[in-house]
Parts: sequence; structure tokens; C-alpha cells
Amino acid sequence: MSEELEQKIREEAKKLLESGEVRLVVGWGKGSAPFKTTPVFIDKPEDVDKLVWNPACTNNLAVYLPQLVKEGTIGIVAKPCDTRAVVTLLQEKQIERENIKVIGVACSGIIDESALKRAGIDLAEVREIKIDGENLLVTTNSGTQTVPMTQAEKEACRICEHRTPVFADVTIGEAPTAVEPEAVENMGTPEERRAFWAKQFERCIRCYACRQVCPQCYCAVCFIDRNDVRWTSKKPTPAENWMVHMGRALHLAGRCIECGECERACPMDIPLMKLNREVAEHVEKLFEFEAGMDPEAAPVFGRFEPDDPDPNEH
Amino acid sequence: MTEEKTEQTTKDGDWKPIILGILCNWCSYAGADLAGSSRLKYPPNVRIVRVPCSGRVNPLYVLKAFQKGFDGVMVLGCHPGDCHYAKGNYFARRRIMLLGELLKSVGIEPERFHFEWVSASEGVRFAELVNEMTETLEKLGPFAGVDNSAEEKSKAEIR
Amino acid sequence: MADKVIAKTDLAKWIAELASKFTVIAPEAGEADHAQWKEVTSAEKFNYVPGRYAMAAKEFLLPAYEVLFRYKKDSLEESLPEDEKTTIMMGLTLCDARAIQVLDSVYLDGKFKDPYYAARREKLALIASVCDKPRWSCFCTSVGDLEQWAAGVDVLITDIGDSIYIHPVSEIGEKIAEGEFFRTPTEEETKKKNDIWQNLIALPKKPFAGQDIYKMVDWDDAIWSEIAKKCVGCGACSYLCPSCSCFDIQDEVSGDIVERFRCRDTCQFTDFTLMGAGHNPRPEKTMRVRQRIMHKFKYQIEQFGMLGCTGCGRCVEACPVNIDLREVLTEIVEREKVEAGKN
Repeated sequence: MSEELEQKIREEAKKLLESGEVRLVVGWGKGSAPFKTTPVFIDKPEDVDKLVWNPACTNNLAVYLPQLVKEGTIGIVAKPCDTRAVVTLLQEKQIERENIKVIGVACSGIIDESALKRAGIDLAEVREIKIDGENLLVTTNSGTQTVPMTQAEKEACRICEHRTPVFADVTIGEAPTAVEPEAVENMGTPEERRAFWAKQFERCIRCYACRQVCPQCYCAVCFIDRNDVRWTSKKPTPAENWMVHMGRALHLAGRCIECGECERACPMDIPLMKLNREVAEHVEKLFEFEAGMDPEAAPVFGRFEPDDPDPNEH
Repeated sequence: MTEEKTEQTTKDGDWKPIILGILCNWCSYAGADLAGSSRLKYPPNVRIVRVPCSGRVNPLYVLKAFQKGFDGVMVLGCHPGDCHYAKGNYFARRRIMLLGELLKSVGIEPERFHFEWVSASEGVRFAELVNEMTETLEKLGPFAGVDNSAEEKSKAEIR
Repeated sequence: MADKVIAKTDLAKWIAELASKFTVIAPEAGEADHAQWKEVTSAEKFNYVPGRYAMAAKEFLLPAYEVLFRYKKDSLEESLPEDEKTTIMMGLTLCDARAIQVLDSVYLDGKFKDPYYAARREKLALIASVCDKPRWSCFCTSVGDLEQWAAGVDVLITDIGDSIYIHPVSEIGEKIAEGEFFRTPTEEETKKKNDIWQNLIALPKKPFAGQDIYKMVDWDDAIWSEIAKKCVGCGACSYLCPSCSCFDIQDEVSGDIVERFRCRDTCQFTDFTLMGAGHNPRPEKTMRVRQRIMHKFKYQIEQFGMLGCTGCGRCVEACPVNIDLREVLTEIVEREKVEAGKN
């Protein structure tokens, strides 16, 4: 099934390149390990065989769009979450509709190395991974292990409600049967929450991988880097780290499309999706707005309604 | 560690809550002014910052205040419909409501953050707000939502 | 110097003994991959698992945040580390131990000796651990000679099952491995240790092993822009790299106290080379990617005579877009072969 979709993706990419509609197609290519892929930038029709589609196609390629579209129309292979990122970029006028061609792909979940490790897989022993229904088959040096996708996938995928692209010029594949997204676990009393997040942010080394992989973090000068106004210091103390992550969560409110790349990219395994998911739920509850669904919609904090939730009623 | 500090300082009676008040110039600041000229009593625990409009309030201010150790923050603006700049408080309403939820998500007690509408004639109300908040915070204790131990250590070392 | 063996059940005694005479730091127990270096006073806090942890030894020698001095009105207070006791770093891998030597070449270099680094380094003893199996990203054998690396630590330990095999290397190493809870190793135990060592140095070498990469990396190579296309410019590779040591110095005012501190920085950040007047000699990502690789594989050899990379694989695992340094180097070397073949 995966191979069929892969073939279709290559065909679509070839069409776009041959017709000259796009100057290049950004998609995923083979990575340096069986459980990895890497972004590839195809500008020749004969190179489309470099494109792959498998449960390791994790990168949100929309992160490259604002820069790439400056030099012509770009084709992008996009998972449903990635298409939501494209929609948000359109809403915020970072890209123009006529400058992109979206090859949307239906998705049943993307694996996460940390999750695989927790499921007891030794990554050094892995030879091949393959999706089989709701399971991941991991072939290692000592045999094949079956890991349910719910254990092998990114946290963001585990709670994902969008298995089909929400916006695309062409959609490949069909949504797998609807999965009941698992609720985010309740984190308890205010004290428990404070203790939890204090422990998490303490680990932050301020590498900014989370920010750099995020398609929504495109500011020319991020608030973290500003010197004219010092929102936060460069020293990685728990207090400064708190400010960085809270500020980021705030700036992503109503914009985060929950692809989970931030959490995956974090070298210190900070569970960023927990926070981003909660914020997204607040936005949905307060303003009935879901990020990245309608390219014509105005950004949620760029407008208001007369009957918005009011502090007096809350 | 900061919880220990709570025990010590309240026993000594030294700690008093510090509240940051971000007030819009035309309504809430005028209201606070009225409280003053009416000689209404309210605790000196609030530090007021005047902004032209609640819509100008960058939610990062509130985060920064908590990061720096304020025990409570209040953002006050004009009632919806009365904004001097017509729409500013409507934008603020969305932003600041969301901010309130974010703060709760990371365990900052809802009593520490207040977002209210206070008009220029509501001097009494302003005084009440500050009174209530100060009382509540005195019972709640110092803000412990951010681990400032590294910064405290820095300050202690040079003294 | 005689080799010794200690039963794992006696480990607690050894650590207690060490903790009484020295400051012992080790990866904290229970935190798995991203264990931080913490002080241990008992065996419960030290969970010895051979292998590489996320945090390299540089976290101790070059803390992510270090105050250089503070001043207030007329008083200036320097913050040189003043620990009297020797610090023992326990459980680091050989790639990390080698990385310390690379850092030494930078920070203890002649008249540019860094007093903060030097103060910590002088009092540091290393108990390195032999890895029992490689991670998927490891390539230490392709960038150096492990026998040589092992000679640079103070004690080398190997997990041989119920016990730990101890090989003191230096004088300090001898002192560290002292106590009645040690005994002479049996022939079987020595063989087990040797097998593990042989297994480690048998890690297959990559095509770039033993090559003079520093002669092959080229300023004008098209490979830099190829990599830069997908690089997202985060700092993960250089932050986690055990031999990357770039820092930023900032002054911060808090009330009436000014604090000058040093913190991590990376050549991968856009503003790393941004100057006060606004000029940035490396404004493009291609330039920054080139800088990282040429620094590690060319400039460091030319300046200090040793390769900057120790093959720990952290950058390979951390890169969110799977820029695999091993593939980059292989490509450079293979292309060089093709070029040479033509000539």
C-alpha cells in the first residue's frame, strides 16, 4: 500500500516538473538509517525516484516554503498536518496560493525514535520498518518485532484527528479508518503541573531545534533573539527556559497545527506537544477556531467577535 | 525549594505580595486615579504600569512579570464598547483570555491573574479589586511557578 | 599498575569511598539517554550502564551557563571555580574522553589558557567506560585510534556482567582504584574484558577512515549549499557535540549588580557572527554549514594537530533533518577518489 502511494507521489511530482508548473518539488527521500528520511529537493523529472513515502516521513516540509517560494513556484509533498501548516502560511500571507502546488498524502501515523526506544527496540539493530495495518513491523538483526503504531508513533500522531490532507492540489491515498484520538491526560493540580513543567524546562539546552523545525516560526527576528528588548536571557536557567517556552507556546496559540516536529526534534525529549495541545484546545473552546483549516480565514487573534468569551462571564 | 522559602518568610512576616497592574490610560488608570482622589484605601502592593490601551498589552509582559517573581498580575481595560480606540479592548479580550488559560495549564493559580474591565468612574471597584487580590495572595503565598533559584543564587553571592 | 575487578554488589562501597575523598560526578540514574552529570554520593544515584549519554563531558568543564564575574559599585567579584577536591568524572565514553583532549587543545593553549576551564580541568580525573555495543550513529573507529584514546584517561572500566573490570592508567587512576573491595581478575574475567574491547575496536570503519579529509574539504564545494538546503539552522548538532566549545559572553544588569556570564553559542545561529555595527560575515546558511565542517575537519587539524570530531554520533542522531555527517564525509572522500582517478 505504501509502495503504491510512493509511486503515485513520484508520478505527480514528475508531472509538475515536466510541465514546468514548479521549479522544484520538496519531499522526503531515503535517510541514513531504516527509520529515517531526509528532506529532498527535486528539480529534475528524472530524479523523482528519490522521493519516498513511509512511516518515517516525519519532517514538516512547509518549513522551507517561505524561503523557497521567493524564487518561483514550489511543489510540496505534504501530510495532513503539513497541509494545515501550508494553510496557516497562506492565512498569514507568508506564501501566495499561486506559488505552491500541494501533493497531499493521507497518513496513518509517523514513527518517533524515542517511542521506538521506549518500546524496547535497539535502533542499532534495525534493518527495515514497514507498516502493516495498525502495526509497525520492525525487522532487526534478530528477527521481526511487531509494535502497535499507537506505541511507535509520535505523540502528535497518537492524538491526531486529521488523517486526510485538508488542503491540496491533488490528494493521494485515502484516510485510514477513523481512529478515536486519545485524550490528553489530565495533569492534575496546579502544584503538580508546576512541578512537571519545572522539571521539563530545566532540561532545555536552548538549541532552538523546536523553533527551527516549526513552519510557523518564521519571524525574521524571534522574540528570544531580540537584544533591543530583552524578553529572555541566553543563560539556560530554569526561569529563562520557562520564559522561552511559555512565550513560544503563546505565539503559537491558534497557529500550531500539531505536527509534533518540535517534540520530535528536541534532543532532550521535552514533551512540547502536551503544552501545545492544551493551548490548541483552549483556542478551540474559547473561539471555535482550529488552526490551519481554511486558507481564507483570518488569523484568530487578528480579529474578534462581539460575543467573544468575556472575563465577566468566565 | 521555593516552598521552604514560603514557610520562612511568612513566619518572619517579611513577605508581602507584589502585584503588577497593567492599566489602560483612558478607563482603568483613570479609575485608579479616582480611587486615589477619593481617598479610598487600598493596599500599596500593586505596582501600576500605564498603557494607552489594553490592546497594547503584549501577553509577554504578563509572562515576564511572573518570570521575574511578581506574585500576581492584573490587566485592566475599558468595558467592551467603551474603548477609546474603538476596538483595542476587543483584541485584548481574545489575547488575554487565552493567556489566562495558558497560565492555568502550567499550574499558575487562577487567583494570581486577573483580567477585568474597570471604567473611569469605577474607583471603588478598582480599590476592591486590589484589596481582594492582595488578601487572596497573602493567603496563597509567594509565587512559586518559576524556579528562580539560579537567579537568587547569583544575587546572594555578591552580597 | 595492576588490573582489578570489583563485584557490582560492592560498587556502593567503592563509590562511598570515592565520594569521601573526591567529588564524584556521573550520569544521573533513571534518566536514560538524557541523563545529566550530577554529583553522586551513593551507588543508588549512579546507575552504571555502558554507552553514550546525551550530555557530554563538556557540560562539566564548560557549563552551559557560567558567571565570569559580578560587580556592584566598587566591588568586583570573580567567580573562578575553587573546588579543593579532585573531581572524578565516572562513566564517560572514550569518544567523550577524547573530546576533552580536543577541548584542552583549545582552552589550555599557550598564552590563551582559559582560567575557568583550567581550574576545573586541573582537578579532573576521568574514569572512562568501554562501550559494549555501538549506537546506530557511532563511528569512533573511523576518526581515531581507540588504544591511543584509552591511554589518555585515568581509569578504564568495563562491564563484564556481575563485576566491573578496572584498568588504572595513570597515577591518579591507581589512587582511585584502591580499596579492599577489589581483587585480582581471573583469567576468564580478563578474557571477557578483552573480548568486549576487541568488539569495540572492530566497529566497521567508514570510507573516510584514515583519509586526510583536511586536504579534501574545499571552500567552494557545492556540497555546502546542498546541505544548507535542508539544514534548518537549529543548534542541536553543535550544542550536543562533545568537542564543540563556542560560547557567548553577555552582560546583564539586575538592579545594581552587573553580571558577566558565558553561555553556549553555536556557529549555526544566524547571529553568531553578527557584529555590533550590524555586519555579519556569515549571513548565509551555506557559509555556516561550511564553517562547521571545515572547522571540525580542517582548521582544528591545521591549528592543533588533532581532528575535532570523535565519532560519538550525537549530531547524526540529533539532526532533525537527518544530515548525516558520515554521509557528508563519505561523499567528499569518494568524490576526491573520482577526481584523483581522472588525473
